[in-house]
Amino acid sequence: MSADLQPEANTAEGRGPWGLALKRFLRNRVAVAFLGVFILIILFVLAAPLWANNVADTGPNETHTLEKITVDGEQREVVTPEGKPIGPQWFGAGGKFFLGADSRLGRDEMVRLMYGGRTSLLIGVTTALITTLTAIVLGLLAGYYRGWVDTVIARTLDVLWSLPVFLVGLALGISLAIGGLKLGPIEISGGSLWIPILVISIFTVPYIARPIRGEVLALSEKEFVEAAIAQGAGPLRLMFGEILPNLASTVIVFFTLTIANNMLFEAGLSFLGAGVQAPNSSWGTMITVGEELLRTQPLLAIIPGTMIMLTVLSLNIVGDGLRDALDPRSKVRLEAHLGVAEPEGTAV
Amino acid sequence: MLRFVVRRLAGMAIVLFAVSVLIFLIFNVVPNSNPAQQLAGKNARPFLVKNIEEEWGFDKSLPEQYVTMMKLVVNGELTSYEPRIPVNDRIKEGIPATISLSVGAGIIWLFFGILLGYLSALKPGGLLDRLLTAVAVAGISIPVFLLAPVFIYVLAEQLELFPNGGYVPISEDPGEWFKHLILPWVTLAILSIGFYSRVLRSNMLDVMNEDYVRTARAKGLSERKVMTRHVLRNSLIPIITLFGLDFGATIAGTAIITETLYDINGVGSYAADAVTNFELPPIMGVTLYGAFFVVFINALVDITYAYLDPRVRLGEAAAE
Amino acid sequence: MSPEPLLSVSDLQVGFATEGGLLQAVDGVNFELRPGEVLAIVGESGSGKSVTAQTIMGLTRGHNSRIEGSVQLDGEELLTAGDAAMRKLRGERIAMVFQDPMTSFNPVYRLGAQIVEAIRAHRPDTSKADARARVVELFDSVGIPEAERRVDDYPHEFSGGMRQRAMIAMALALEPEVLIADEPTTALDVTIQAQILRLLEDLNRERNLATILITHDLGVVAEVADRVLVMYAGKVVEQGTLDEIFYDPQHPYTWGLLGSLTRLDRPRPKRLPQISGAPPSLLELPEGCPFRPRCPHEFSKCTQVPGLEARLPDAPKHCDRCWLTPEQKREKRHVEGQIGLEAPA
Repeated sequence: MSADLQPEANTAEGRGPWGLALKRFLRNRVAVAFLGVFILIILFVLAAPLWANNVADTGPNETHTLEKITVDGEQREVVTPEGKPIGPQWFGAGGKFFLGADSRLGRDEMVRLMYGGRTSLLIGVTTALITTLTAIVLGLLAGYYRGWVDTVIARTLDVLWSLPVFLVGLALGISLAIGGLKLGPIEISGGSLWIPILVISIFTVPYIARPIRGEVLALSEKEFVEAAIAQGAGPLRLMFGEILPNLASTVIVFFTLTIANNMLFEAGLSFLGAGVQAPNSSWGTMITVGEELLRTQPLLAIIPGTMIMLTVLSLNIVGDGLRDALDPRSKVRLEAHLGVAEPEGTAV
Repeated sequence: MLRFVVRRLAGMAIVLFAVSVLIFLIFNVVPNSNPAQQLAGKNARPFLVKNIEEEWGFDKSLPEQYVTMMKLVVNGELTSYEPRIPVNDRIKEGIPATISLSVGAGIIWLFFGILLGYLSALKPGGLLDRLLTAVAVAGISIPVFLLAPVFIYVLAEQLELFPNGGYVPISEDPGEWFKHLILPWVTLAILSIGFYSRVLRSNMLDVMNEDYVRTARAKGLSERKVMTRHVLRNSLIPIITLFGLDFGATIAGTAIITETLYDINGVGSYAADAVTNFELPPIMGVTLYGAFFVVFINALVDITYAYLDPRVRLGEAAAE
Repeated sequence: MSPEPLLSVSDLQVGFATEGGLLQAVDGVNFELRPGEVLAIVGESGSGKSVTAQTIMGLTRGHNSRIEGSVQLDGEELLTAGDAAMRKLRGERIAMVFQDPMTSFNPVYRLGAQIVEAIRAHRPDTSKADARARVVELFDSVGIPEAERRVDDYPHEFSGGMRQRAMIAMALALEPEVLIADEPTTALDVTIQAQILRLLEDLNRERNLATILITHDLGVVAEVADRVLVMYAGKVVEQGTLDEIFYDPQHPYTWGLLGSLTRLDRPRPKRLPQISGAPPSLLELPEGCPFRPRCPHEFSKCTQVPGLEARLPDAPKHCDRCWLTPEQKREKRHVEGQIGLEAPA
C-alpha cells in the first residue's frame, strides 16, 4: 500500500500521540463548538431539581389540570375546559409553565423536559458503556482466540445482526415491560429503567463488536504482538496490554457515536410505548404525549424532538472531530500517493 | 458462482431457523412469569388465559412448545385475541402500503445519497464538500419523530401543500397515491441520504488512494473515466450491500414510526398498534415476517456482493 | 544513437506543503535519456526517486505541490503542459510500470479488459475485438503462457510474476518511447526477479526502448543499466556510467551501497556490512551535506552543501557531491580489500 505522510512524528518534540490528537481536536472549531453545546445540554438537565424547586415550583409528574396561574396580573386556566393546555408563558408567570403545559394533565413542560432529558441521557450513556465494554470483550476474544471461540461469537453476532433490530427490540421491550424479567436470581420489574437499558444494549452490540473483531484480527497479525509473545506474554496481557491500547481511538469514536445512536433508539422505543414506562419519562415519551396535540400545539412534540436532535447532532459532530483528530490519515491526502519519506526512514 | 449461491441459501435456512428459535425464546421463555397471561394481553379474562395455555401447550416441554408455535405461524392460525383477527391476514393487508413506502424512499435515498457523496468526494475539503457534509450530518441527526411533525405541521397543516397523512392504494388513484407518499418518502429518506453520502464519500477517498487508481491515471485515462470506472465502481460495492440491508430492514417494517406519524396502514403501524395495546401475537407475527425478509435480503445482498467483487466468489482468493 | 536526448530533465525541484512544513522531496535532479538507453535511479525509500519519476509523468501535480525546473520530451516542455496534453502522453509516449502488481490492477475488472481500456482511451477507433487481439499479442510477447485464455482472468488469478508481466504488457501496449519501471521487482521472489529483469533487458534491446529503472538494489542495476543516478534525501549524490559507478565510485554513500552487496566471488566478510544510521527526515535535514551524520569521513567542510560537480579531469560526465579530493576518495573507499564504507569510529 502507499505510504502516507506523517510529519507529526518528527516535529513532535516529545509530545505523545494523545497530546497531538488533543491539539488537532482543538483546532477543529466546529467540533469544539458542538462539544460546548453538548456540555450545555448536560448542564441543562442537571439543573432540573434547581429549576423545579425554585422557579417552576412543581415536579415533572404533578398535574395541575384544574388550577389557575397569574400571568401579567391576569388569571389564566392551566387547562381549558375543552382540554387545551396553556401555551408557553416564558417568564410571564415567574417561570412557571415556561414552555407551557404538556397536555390535558397540565404538567409543566419545561420541568418535564429537564427531567426527561436526564432519563434520555442516562440511558444513552449507560447503554453505550455496556455495549462498548461487551463489544470490546467479545471482539478481543473472537479476534484473538479465533477458532471455535470466534465461530461461536461471530455466528451469534450474525444472527443478532440479521434480526430487524428495531422490531425485536420493540417486542422484547414490550413483553418485558408487561411481565418484568426473571432469570434465575435476577429479578427486574417491568417499569424499571433497566429493561430498556438492557434491550438497547444487547441489540446494539453487533454493530460495534463486528468492526472491533475485524480490527483485532488485523492487529493480532502485526509484529508487535509476535514480539510480545516472544517475550512470554500470556493471552490476558496480550489482549489487554498490547491489542486493546491500539483499539483505543476506534473505541472512543464508536462510544461517542453509540451514545447518539442509542438515544435515538430509546426515543423510538419510548415513543411507541416499548421503552421507558410511566412514571418515568424521557424525551421520547414526551413526544408521544405531544403527538396527540400535533395539529394545535405542535411545540409540545417539536421541543423534545429538537432537544434529541441537538444532542445527537452534537455527539455526531464531536465523534467526527475525534475521528479526524485521532487518525489524521483520514484527512491528510496528498494528491498522488508518493514514495515520500517515512520519517523514520529505512536502512538499506 | 452457482455453488456460492447454493451455499448462501443453505446458510439462510439455518439462520432463519436460529432466528425463529430466538424469537420463540424472547416471547415465551425470557419474560417468564406467565406466558399465557402475556399472550392474552393486558386485560384478559381468566378463561382466555386457560385457553391459550392449552392452545400453545405451555405445560409441555420447550421443544414441543416451539413446534406448536411454529405450526400456528405456518398454518396462519396465529391470532390476536382482542379483537380476534388472524395475524397473517392483517400483515398481508398491510404489505402494499409498506412496500410502497419502502421502495419509494429507497430509490430516493440511494440516488441522492450516491449523488451527494460523489460530489463531495470530487473536491474533498472544498466548499461544496463542507456544505454537503454539514447537510449530511444534520440529516443523520434529525430523528423521524421530529421531522415528521414539523413537515406535517408546516407543509400539510399550515401551508396545505400536501395531504395530511393517510394512504391511498395505487390501484385506486395513482395521483393521490403519489401525493400522499411524498412527505413520508422524504422523511424516511433524509436520514439515509445523510448516512449514505458520508459512507460513499469516505469509501471514495480511500479508493482514490489505491494503487490501481494511480495506474489508471498513468495509463492516460481522462479524470472523469478514472472517477467513474475505477473510483466510483469500487466504492459502490459496500454501498450496495449496505443498501440491501437497510432496504430489507425497511420492508421488514422498521418504518414503524413513519407509518404511525403519517397514518399509513402498513405492517409497521400494525405492529405499533399492537404495542400500544400490549398485544403479543401480532408483534410476534410481524417480527417473524420482518426477520424472514431481513434474512432473505441479506442472502441476496451476499450473492450480489459476490457478483460485484470477483475475489469473494472463489472463497478466500489471493492467489499467491 | 542519435545525439539528441529523448528526455531531458534540468534542475527538477519538487516540494510538498505539509502540516509540518515544506517537504523538499526532490532537490535538483539533472539527466538526459537517449533512445535505447537504460538509466538506473538508485536510492532508499524517501530518496526522491519515485517522486522524480511520477513528476515526469505529471502525476504529482496538485495544490500541495511546488514543482520547478524543466522536463522536456523531444523538446516539448512537460512541466507546464496542460492536463489534457499530459493525459494524452501518459501511456502513449511515456509509460510506467509500478512496484506492486497486485494492488496496481483494479481487482474487480478482468485484467485483459483493463489493458483494452488503456488502448481504447488513446485510440478510440479501435474495436474491442482488435484491442483484445492486441492484448493477446502483448501477453505472448511478455511471456505469459496461454495468453488467449488468461486475458479474461481477474488479477488475483495470476501469480505475482505473471501479474508483473501483464503490467509490463500494459505499459507497452501503445508503443511508448520511454518506459519508467518503479521498483518492478521489489515485490517479487528472487527467482522471478531475474526473469522480469531479463524481460526488461530484452525489451530494451529489441525495441530500442529508453528505460528508466528505479530501484534500491544495486545488484539489479549491474544487470541492465547503462547509466546510474544515485539519490539521497532528495538530492543526486553521484551520477555516471555503470562502469564509473561500480569501478570508480566517488561518494561515500555509493561506497556504502556497493559494500553492502554480498558477493559470491569474495570471501565472506566478518560482519554483514551496512550503513549505520538512517536517512534523515526531509523536514529536518542536517546542515550541509545530507549524508554527513552517517559518514565516517566527514570533516569541517561538510557543513556546506557540496555542489554536484564533475571532479575528475577525464570523466566530465561523472559528477558527485563530496568535498573529499579524488585522492582521498581512492584511499578511503577500500575497506578490508574491497569497496565499502567503514564503520564509524
